[in-house]
Amino acid sequence: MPPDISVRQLVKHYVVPERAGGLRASFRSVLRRKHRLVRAVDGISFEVERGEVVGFLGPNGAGKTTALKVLSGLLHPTDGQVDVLGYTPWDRRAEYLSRITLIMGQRQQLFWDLPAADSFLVNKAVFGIDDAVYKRTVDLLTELLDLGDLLTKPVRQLSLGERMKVELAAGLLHTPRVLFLDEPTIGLDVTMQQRIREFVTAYNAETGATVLLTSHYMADVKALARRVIVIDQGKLLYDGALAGLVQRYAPHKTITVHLERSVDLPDLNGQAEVLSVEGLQVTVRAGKDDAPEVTGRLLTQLPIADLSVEDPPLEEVIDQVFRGDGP
Amino acid sequence: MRILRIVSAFLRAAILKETAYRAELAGNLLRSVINIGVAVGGLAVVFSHTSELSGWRLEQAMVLLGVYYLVQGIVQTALSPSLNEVVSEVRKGTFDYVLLKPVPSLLLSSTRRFVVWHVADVMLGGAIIAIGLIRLEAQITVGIAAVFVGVMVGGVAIVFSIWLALTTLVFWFVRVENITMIFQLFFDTGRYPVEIYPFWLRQLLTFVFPVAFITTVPAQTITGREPLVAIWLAPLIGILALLAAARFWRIGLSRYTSASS
Amino acid sequence: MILRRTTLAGALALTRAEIADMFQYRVVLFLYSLWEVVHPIVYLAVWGAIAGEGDVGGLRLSDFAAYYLTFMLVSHVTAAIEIYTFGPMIQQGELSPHLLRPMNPVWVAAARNISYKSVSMLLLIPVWIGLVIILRPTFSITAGSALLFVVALVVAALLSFLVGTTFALLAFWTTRSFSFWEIWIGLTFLLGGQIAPVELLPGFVQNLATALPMRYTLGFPIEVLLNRLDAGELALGFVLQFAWLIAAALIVRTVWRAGIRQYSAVGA
Repeated sequence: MPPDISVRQLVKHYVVPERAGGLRASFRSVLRRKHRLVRAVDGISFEVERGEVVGFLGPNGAGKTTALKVLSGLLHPTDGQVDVLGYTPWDRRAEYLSRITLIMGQRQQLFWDLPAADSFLVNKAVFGIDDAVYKRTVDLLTELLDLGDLLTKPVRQLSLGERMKVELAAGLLHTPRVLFLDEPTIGLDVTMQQRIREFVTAYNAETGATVLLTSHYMADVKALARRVIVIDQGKLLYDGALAGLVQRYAPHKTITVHLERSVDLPDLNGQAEVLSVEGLQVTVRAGKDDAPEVTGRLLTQLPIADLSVEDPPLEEVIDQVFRGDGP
Repeated sequence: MRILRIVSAFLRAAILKETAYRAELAGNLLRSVINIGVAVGGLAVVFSHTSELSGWRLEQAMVLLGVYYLVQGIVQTALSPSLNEVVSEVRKGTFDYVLLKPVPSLLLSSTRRFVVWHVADVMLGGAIIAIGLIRLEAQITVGIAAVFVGVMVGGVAIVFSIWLALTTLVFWFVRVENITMIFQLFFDTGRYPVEIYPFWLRQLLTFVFPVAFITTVPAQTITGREPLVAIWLAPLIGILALLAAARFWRIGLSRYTSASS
Repeated sequence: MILRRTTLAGALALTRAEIADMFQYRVVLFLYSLWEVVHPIVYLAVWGAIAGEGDVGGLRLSDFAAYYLTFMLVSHVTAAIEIYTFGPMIQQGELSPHLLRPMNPVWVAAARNISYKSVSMLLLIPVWIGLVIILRPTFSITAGSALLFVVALVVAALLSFLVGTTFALLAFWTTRSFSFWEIWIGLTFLLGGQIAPVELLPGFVQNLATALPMRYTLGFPIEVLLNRLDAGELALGFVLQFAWLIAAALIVRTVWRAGIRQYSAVGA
């Protein structure tokens, strides 16, 4: 079976006018515009298999959203080939658009003053969804997203989180086979983020849909994607298992020990750095390769009640990747 | 003096902002020229079938049109931008910041924003008035000019008062963003002399919604036509309207409950 | 653009939802409707003042009343609002969600156009009936002219929608599409039968008005209904109206395609 998404050497450059601040500069810019080339996506390639959930990571302006927009047919690429479900996205064929969805943060397509059910009916007609299929899908979405009576309230009366759930449902009515989710949890509270995550997992399991999502929240990525693609400044930095990312980029481990009583710390030979000492809890950081040795020394030389070795938080790892001082 | 400094600071900021977008400025000027050109063209069509419209000759009607654009320009330069801001701020709850400033709220609310390029309407309106007067070969003495200015100031005061009163309604009804359309509806009748309208409408436009005092009366003063009403009524009504509107503003302000969001 | 079955069904569903949505704004819509009442009344007052007890170019006061009362309804039906509805959508990047659906977003503009008019028409009709009672117009309408009027009105509404859409689509390239639109509005004021019925325009201006498209979005249906045209003028009018309609359709298609290419090149 061919992959659902196949991207080869995708390039998207923009030319944007540049204007310096200040009155004189703005007068000058009327006469002679300066332009700057933005390499939003600069030659990335990857494939996504049927039913995979892939996290798309990168700092702001890395080109994640641009890539998603190319994949969903909103943007023409400058160069490269993209094949999604056998279609070239930017041909914008009706059959293609009926098989995918792009859900962008708070970018809403719902009628503000009407209950969402009315907007749903519009999508039902636009996508030509059968009555039976429509009913089944709405029931499924209502259950998975716990929509309850949200569909019958005017959209303007919904909270941010409720609106996002309804928005998600609206984008999934036509049971797309490929989901592009751009920051689906942005601005939501923790509980609601959790709920959306659970939904995406359940939806993926239930329908076997392929999901490519971007998010600021590492928790999203951790919970959803076993595989991540990291891009920065338009270039692909990493493509593989989430665990592998930590393996490869985390330069150190964090070792936390609980002491039985207060003692002086042993000489760590410069192999580890003490991060904090809080009462009887000591946290040290050691290079990845030195960690076993440091752990051993701590165990033998200290009266230890408890010891744990952890990878640093994913945020820190990602940060490391983007700063470019990983291996 | 402090008031003058505040207003001039706002004005300066507006001019700076506007000149920063010279291409926009040129486009907007072109727009004013087209608007007014079309209006004069309309007069020409009307006067191709008659030599006078309810006693007004083409040149006199031109002067009236000029007065209309002059007032329109003043409204859109100095009045509507600030007052529209009030409406949106009360809705969003950010009007609090206005009240927190150590400046009278009415002053701050009505002089904060200027849309400078609408001055083009003022200048073009003045130009049409001038052309009309020259073609009339009118003898403008200092006295007549002074009376004209007085009547115009009265007219602008009336406009400001109406606009302020409509804006003040926002303190009762939060969704009034389009209420000022009512002003424009009536004001559009002022492109032509009030005498063309049937009796009841003329009374309405003179005494209830005094558009007549805003365009017809000033144009009469300077083109030497028979006055519609005693001319000294114009500044008087202007002053009374201002006082009433300011009082209404204060009542409205006491109703202000800052949106708690 | 091949018309798919679901496109039509989609447009219908969209219109239904838009109408429900519009009802939320009835006060604003009522004010907008009043706008369409005030202007014709002003022109009527001007011509009434000139005609007095006599006539202007064969038109008496009651004829002017009939012309401008018909004008109120026709201008309402043919009003192009796309510069306010569709243009901002393009400018503010709100087009993307619509582009993700298998239906051309121009249908969204069409649905909004129809819903706006059907709701505000309901508000306008009572005002209009009151004015008919006050102004006592003489409508010289025949069955034939009424029939042709319907055709002319529908084509005028379509033509006007396409023109409005074309100007709205300029938002793909410029933030100043509104200025261009105002030029069109100005020309319609002079040549479209607004400040005066086209038959009252001076010689060469009248020829210009006959040739250009503005009259076919506004004045022409009124003239048809009130029997102001002889057979030759009627035939010429319909030929030109249809010709402009086809031209406008082609222009919208071309501009839309170029626009969407631009949109997807520089960023959505």
